[in-house]
Amino acid sequence: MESFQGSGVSPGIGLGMARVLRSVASSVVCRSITQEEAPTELERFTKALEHIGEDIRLLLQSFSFKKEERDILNTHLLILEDPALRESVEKGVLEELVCLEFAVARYFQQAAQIFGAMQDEYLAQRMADYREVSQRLLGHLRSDEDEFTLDEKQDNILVAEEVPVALLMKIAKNKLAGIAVERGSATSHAIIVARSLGVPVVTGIADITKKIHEGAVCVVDGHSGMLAVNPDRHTKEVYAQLMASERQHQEELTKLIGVETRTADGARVHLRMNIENPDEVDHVMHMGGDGIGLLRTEFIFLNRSSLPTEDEQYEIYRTIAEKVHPAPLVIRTVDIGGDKLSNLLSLQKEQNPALGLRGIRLSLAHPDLFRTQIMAILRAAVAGNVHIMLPLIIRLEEVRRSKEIIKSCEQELIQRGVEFRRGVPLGVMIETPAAAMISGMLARECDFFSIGTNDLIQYTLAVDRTSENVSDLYDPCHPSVLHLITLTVQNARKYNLPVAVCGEMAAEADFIPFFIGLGLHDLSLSPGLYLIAKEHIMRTRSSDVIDLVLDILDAESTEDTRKRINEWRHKHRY
Amino acid sequence: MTQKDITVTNKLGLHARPSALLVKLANNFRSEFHIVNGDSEVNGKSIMGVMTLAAAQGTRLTLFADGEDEEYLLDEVTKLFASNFNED
Repeated sequence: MESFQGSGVSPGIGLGMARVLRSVASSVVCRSITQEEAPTELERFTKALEHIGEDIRLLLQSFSFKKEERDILNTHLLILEDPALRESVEKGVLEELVCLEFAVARYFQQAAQIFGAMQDEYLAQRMADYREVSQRLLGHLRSDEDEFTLDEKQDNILVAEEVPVALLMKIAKNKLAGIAVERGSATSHAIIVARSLGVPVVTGIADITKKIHEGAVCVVDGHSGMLAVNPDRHTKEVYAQLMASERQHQEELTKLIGVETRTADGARVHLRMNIENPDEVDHVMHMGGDGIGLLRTEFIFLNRSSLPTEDEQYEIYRTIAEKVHPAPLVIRTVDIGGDKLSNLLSLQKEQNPALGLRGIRLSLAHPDLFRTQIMAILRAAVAGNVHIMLPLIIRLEEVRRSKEIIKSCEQELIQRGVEFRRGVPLGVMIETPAAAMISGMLARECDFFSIGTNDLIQYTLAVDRTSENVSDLYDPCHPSVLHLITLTVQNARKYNLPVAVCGEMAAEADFIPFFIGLGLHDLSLSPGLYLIAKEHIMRTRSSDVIDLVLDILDAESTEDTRKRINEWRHKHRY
Repeated sequence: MTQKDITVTNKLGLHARPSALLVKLANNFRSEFHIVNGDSEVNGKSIMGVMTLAAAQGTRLTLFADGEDEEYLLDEVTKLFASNFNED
């Protein structure tokens, strides 16, 4: 047995026989052709482009790929149909009389050099796209049918220099147990696709296509980054067990679908989902859940040449409200910055859009936009259990003004003779330190709170969590965060206000006991985290968490908080 | 032939994604389309060309379109730039 240590970039464990994808570019020989042969060579080129282009277009139509995957395929199409490629090939074949394969390989090698020299990281990554199209094209030319397939009779481990994205989308996925490659970073498109397919991937193994033989039995461990070739019996057993327990865990999670969420001692918890797209609703319904705790409405305003009309918005809200009825649908009014709407509203450019005219500020500064959205929501509220939520609140004044506008919208709808619901519950997102600290005052004038932990953490710690330089400072265990959440909940409690937690923290085993201990029984999170969160909630015993809250709030630092949480988890086998 | 000056305003400049959007849009039109950045001129319908421009935020480009739908092309391209390629 041999083992190789790489990086695990997509979790999971796979066992199968190696199916090696060898690079064709390196084996292209320059052959010269005659004047008479030239047109035929060019004809081969045109046919190859058509065939592969057709393949990609069919893929784009027939599978419901995520946006990321479609972007990759579209880029491949652009590369394939680039006039620069055709010009270069025509020059090679017609003028220099070199064979088609050479002309193609040369163009892509030149492209690789250009991109390789670029400073821009995004562009350097495009090299992978170019390489893949090059492989595809050359592979197609060498044998007139499309190349690489998996062995359908067994589980395969795909071994290659890079993860071939378009190929990945084509091949029989149920027979692909894992992938091991020489290069590919965790954030590259290809790896993202592999992750979304749930295929374990190990990367960073040098000369892998030369080291692994076709058909060798391999184990890919996407957690540790290990690749074992021809594993001995002991290794096989260890991995078989790991795989079995993973499979079992997945099955158990699936059994939770449709089950009412309660703690281990029967306390009911409302577990809702955050969505940003009507397409997600069916999936949400399938998982069960207690409704939609956050409908992000930005998608309605993006990628447009004119602002969405009241009727357009009404249709969207009504459809979703009907589908989830009687469970609630909480609609958050548009939460984007002026920078994203600058072509629709004439706005000044801001240095710092995240702290600028966005969220409720933008809505209040553009009453027409706000009114249109409110009226659409009030109308849709007839069809279901709709709530309105205001983003980025920092002042009571913002809530009062919003209520005036809502009242005025109700009057307008009455005058127009349009059906709508009165008294739609109005809540605010507590996502700024300001809002948390005045939550007592806000509680008197709202119908509910939703604590937006993602942004609350960023604004409280003044950290941009997407910046690699400081992302480790973004830590929910910072005492300030937990104290602000506690303060908010206490104020809500004082005024009998429903309060929910909305954000990634709601799904984490580290914090679910804390939230339950605080008496929070409304959580909302992304559909992908729903089942895991449910599992954690159902294992939490209310009696165990009583002392946890006080203990954590006593912590003197981020590390101390984490230490106390870990101790609690260890003690209660959580 | 029509031309127009434009400034790249989106934060990350003309990286891969906006380049792809631009080329895809340009290829919907029949006119020839070229982009000039200082000394370099590229074919705006070629993904290779546009990506090698690697125009960062703040870069001023001149767009040239030549053909029956040249004005329409420039209008649509201008809108795409103005929307910051739907980013940030």
